[in-house]
Amino acid sequence: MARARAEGVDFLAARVAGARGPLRIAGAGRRQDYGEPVAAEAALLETAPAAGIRAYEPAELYVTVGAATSLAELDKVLRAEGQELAAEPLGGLDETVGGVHAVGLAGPRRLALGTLRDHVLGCQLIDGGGAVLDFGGTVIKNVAGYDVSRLQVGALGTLGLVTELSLRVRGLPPAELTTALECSAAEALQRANEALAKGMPVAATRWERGELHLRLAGSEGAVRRARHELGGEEVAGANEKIWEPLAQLKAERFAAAKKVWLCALPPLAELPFDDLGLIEWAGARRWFFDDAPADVRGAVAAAGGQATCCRRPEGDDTPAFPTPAPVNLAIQRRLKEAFDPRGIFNPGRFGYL
Amino acid sequence: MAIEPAKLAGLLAELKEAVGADSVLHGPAQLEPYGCDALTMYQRLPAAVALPADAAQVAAILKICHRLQVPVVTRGAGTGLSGGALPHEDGVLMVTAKMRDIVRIDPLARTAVVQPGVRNLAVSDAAARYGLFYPPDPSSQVACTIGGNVAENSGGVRCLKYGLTVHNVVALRCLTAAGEEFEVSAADAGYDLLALLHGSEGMLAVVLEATVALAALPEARATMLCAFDSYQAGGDAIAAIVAAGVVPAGLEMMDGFAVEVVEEFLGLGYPKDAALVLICETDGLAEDARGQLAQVERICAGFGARDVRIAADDAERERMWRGRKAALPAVGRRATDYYCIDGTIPRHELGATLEKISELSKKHGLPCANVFHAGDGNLHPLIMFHAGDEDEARRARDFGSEILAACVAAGGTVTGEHGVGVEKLNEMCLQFKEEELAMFHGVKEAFDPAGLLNPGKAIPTLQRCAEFGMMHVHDGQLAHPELERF
Repeated sequence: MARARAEGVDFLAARVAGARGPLRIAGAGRRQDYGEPVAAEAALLETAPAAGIRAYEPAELYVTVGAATSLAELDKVLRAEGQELAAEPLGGLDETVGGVHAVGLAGPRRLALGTLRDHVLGCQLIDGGGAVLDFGGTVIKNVAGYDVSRLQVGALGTLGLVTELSLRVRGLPPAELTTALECSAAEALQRANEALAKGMPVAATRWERGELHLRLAGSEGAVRRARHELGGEEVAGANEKIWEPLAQLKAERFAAAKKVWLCALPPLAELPFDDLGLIEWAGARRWFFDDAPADVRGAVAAAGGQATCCRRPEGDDTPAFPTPAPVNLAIQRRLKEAFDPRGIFNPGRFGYL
Repeated sequence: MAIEPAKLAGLLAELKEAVGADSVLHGPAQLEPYGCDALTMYQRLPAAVALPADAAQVAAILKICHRLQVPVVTRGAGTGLSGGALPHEDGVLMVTAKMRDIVRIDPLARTAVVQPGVRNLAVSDAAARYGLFYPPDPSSQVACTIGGNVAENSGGVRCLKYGLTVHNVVALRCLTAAGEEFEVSAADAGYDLLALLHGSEGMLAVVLEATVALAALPEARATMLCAFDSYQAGGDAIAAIVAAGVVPAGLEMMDGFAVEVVEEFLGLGYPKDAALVLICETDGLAEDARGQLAQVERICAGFGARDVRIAADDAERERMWRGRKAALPAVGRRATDYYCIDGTIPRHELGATLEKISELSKKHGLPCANVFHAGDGNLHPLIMFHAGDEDEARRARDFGSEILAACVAAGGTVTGEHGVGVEKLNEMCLQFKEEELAMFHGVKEAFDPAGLLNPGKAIPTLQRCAEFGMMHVHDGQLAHPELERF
């Protein structure tokens, strides 16, 4: 069903339709260093005209938001109703909703909340020909047509200029607390996964330099009980000190590092250099920094995972992403061709495409 | 257009060579049981049925069909409700029934690796010894397969809390239509092919193996049942429960007529003469399950709930659920045939949409019982009719189509969890405009350039929509706004 089109979208569509060469799409422009750089000749196309909250129905648990809206603004509107995004994006409050979705990475609370693509209900995008398309909607259950909305998450703006997103929201948890205990990386993986297998309300885990933090969230009773059963010392002010900086990429080691690896792994896989890392998601995501060995990517792949190089010092030519297997690559290329036959959106962003 | 006899003979010979003569069926008598899925109003025999036993045989079948340009329709248990596994008359129906191994379970990582023909419930049964289960629970879970669940992105009662299939599968090993193997995983950078394959109705790839996420079996469950005297009150109570931040593991409703039909069948003692009966279950740690149910009870009281019952034990809990779970068979006893519709609407539209369905029931002169996943606004109106009566069958289809149009008009969708299949091709023209449908065809071509996997399903051709005459939505304006659209 065609929805009323927000102001600014037609302007952007006309820019795309009239483009005579490649375009570099930018919201707040805060994540241009993630992935490979866009080809230098690309003209800047700012998503700013697609800003603003279009519809917010707290009782229906969704918000429809223009892609250029800042996370800070969205957060303020949702908190006023005692709600938050159902998925926690990885990114600063000064970033745009479209930006964190194009990157597609989730914050520390993935264990409780899932990832961004889990909670995208619908999207509006401008395709490579300048047509404005709507996919999905605002309801949770919807299997009409292929799931193009989820496909856009993490596509780094190469499959279209996303102008609007409908996202699931949820009520803030009634109770939260964080505990800390000292243990090795291997023991941390074991403890965190055991807690999850027992159904404990663990929203986030973080292990670094011999210390495991568990963020518990849920009802008062459940949090109290998990606190008792899982042990550790309660940490005051943990959200401000630990979790928010981690979600906003402002944790101490992110700020200082010249090289940053983000690794997705089976949670219990053990890497020989785990001790050097910051381990989240009960082991399913691990960050490594300047002191990591040269072949992080090879070691992670051997353990059944994937390593993305998020930041590189000047002169380091490590590719940002591993090249997909040939069949996957062929499919991805044909998808790109379908959405952007002229190849104008963010050329070069994935390197291999 | 039937397949040429010489081509069929060549196809059968090659298939028999690849999977063994016993695993290739042909001729009307052998093909008859495969003529439809659970949507029996569409029937068609394939040229042949092939029953591969392993990944190598699936690859062999696909390569043969690709070389001979023969369509392939993949079928799990055939429990689909939209004709997604309806055979192609010139094609091979590839049935995954033999591929039912649970390859391994990793209890601490909470994953299971399963073949596509493994039944949904078999995963939970096997995981139970580790205190784990596989959350998505489509009502056909005793029979339906994981491969089919991926194809349809199946939901179920628990998905409000635990998510759909797409939220519970972490990796897939697949074959393209050309028989090339590839893997997709939640860990992949780049395009999210894993998400795209969910709900793709067997048109993009064939699943060889799925790695599914398991969740901790809840320590406690708390269940209540109550009645409301109007659609509006019941609908508003549902919206209020969800808005309050309660996330039940089941939030189901039945209308008064559905209750009457179920009572006649089972005599469970559900409240009589109610507009709606609500069943709500919360689960998790004991503290969560009890606390959340108490909250639900308070909210329902505020909307005039009566006959509030809280299950005292597991036996009573089972009894409360039995009526909801037996609703379809109960309707099947009352009517010779029934047609199960699957639209989703925003929760606040529940009351108004039920009123609309009631009006449509009178207009078409066909009774309709409503059972639904109220928590996520997913309606399953059950239209009763006689399939033998051509006029009734036509009215049933029109009635269903008008319900779906009402769902789209209310801001919802033509299919929440059953898929488009062949059933809702026309209604897709209502929900999407030409450029969007063209993009769907582009996605299909990216995976299957030759168009051999389940051709003709899920996405209508632009020509079909033009003929259907509903293809004229531009900028929110219908071409003929003066016409009433249901």
